[in-house]
Amino acid sequence: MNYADHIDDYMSGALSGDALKQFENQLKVDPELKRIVDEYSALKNISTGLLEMQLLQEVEEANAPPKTSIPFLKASLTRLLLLVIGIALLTFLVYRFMSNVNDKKNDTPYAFAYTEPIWPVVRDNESSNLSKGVALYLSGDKMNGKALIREASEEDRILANYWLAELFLMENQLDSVRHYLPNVDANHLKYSRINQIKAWIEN
Amino acid sequence: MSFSLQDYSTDDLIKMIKQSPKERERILRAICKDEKLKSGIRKIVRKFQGVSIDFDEIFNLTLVQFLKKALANDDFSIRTNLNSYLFGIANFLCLNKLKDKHNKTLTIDEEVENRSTEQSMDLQIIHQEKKMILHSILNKIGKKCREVLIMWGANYKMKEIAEKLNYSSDVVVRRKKFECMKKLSSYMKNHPKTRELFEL
Repeated sequence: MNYADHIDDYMSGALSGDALKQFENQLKVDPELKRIVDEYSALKNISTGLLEMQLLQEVEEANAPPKTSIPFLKASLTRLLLLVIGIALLTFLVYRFMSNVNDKKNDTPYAFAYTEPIWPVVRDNESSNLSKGVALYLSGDKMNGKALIREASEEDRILANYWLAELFLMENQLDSVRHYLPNVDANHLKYSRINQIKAWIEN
Repeated sequence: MSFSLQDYSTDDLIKMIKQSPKERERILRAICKDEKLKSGIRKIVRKFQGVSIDFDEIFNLTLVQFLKKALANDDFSIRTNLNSYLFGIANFLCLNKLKDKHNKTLTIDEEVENRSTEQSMDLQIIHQEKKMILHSILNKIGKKCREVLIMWGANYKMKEIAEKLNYSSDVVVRRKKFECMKKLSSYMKNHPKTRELFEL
């Protein structure tokens, strides 16, 4: 007989005859069994209390606001996060596209931004070699026009180089433009134009 | 399809409560949505103005008492309708609170009113000190013991416990229960106040 199996029967008075005698004899020699029997009422009440705690938890859960609000919130947050990522991605793509457009714009300054300079005016007797050379170039005699500009005096060297740069710019010969384009200070008449050309050829 | 309490008799509801935790949850959710019931219990709580009784506490304990009776008593039935029965429990709980807070003896009228609730009030968790001890025990005995002891506390037969908790036989459950009882006993040895409180 396993006495532990019969505690409930003993406590409820369901044991009788030999079984009861055996159990009572065991109680005399088994302190562990006796302790459980002595504490039976408290143990049962604690177990009932545990049941009540379990039921209270079930009631509180049933009485609480629907749990769906949390998954919904999570879903909303996920949607928001996806939206932010989408907007960021779109912004990035637009930025890249615009950058490419700008890069292309910078690569081909003549197609998008080139404007002709104000060519020097040629007056019959008063004109310098520079004005005549430019005029000659523009009339179609490119070689002699450039040669005439190169013959300019030393004091006109900066201006001569500038006009040569302008002419090479028209021909899209950027290395020559870089070679001839002079560095001038801010007071120089062609300062803005030279800077504009530098910007085109550097991009 | 939504579940409606009105579609079932109280006896059916009691059977369903015993059937499974899932069914129990369905019934509880329906009861918790019953505004008539809530409003009735609110009125009862208001009668005890000045004792600062918390409606939610009374409402929840009312349902716990009902569920416990339905689970632990094989022959449990309700003679009135469910709401009247629950109002009776709520009233009883409020009176107990009043008694505890002011050490007040119930008047004859109150006692008569108590008897009309068709049942005795025997919640352990109504006492804050016991509730604290139960919390502490819950954290110490482990899941398996908790399951077995809760079902034993609900007066399930060993065979039923074996079926519901997937043990191979009622003998295995008996051994497990004895092992869990020893754990509780050992807890009580270290916390003498526990036995004193729960033996009553």
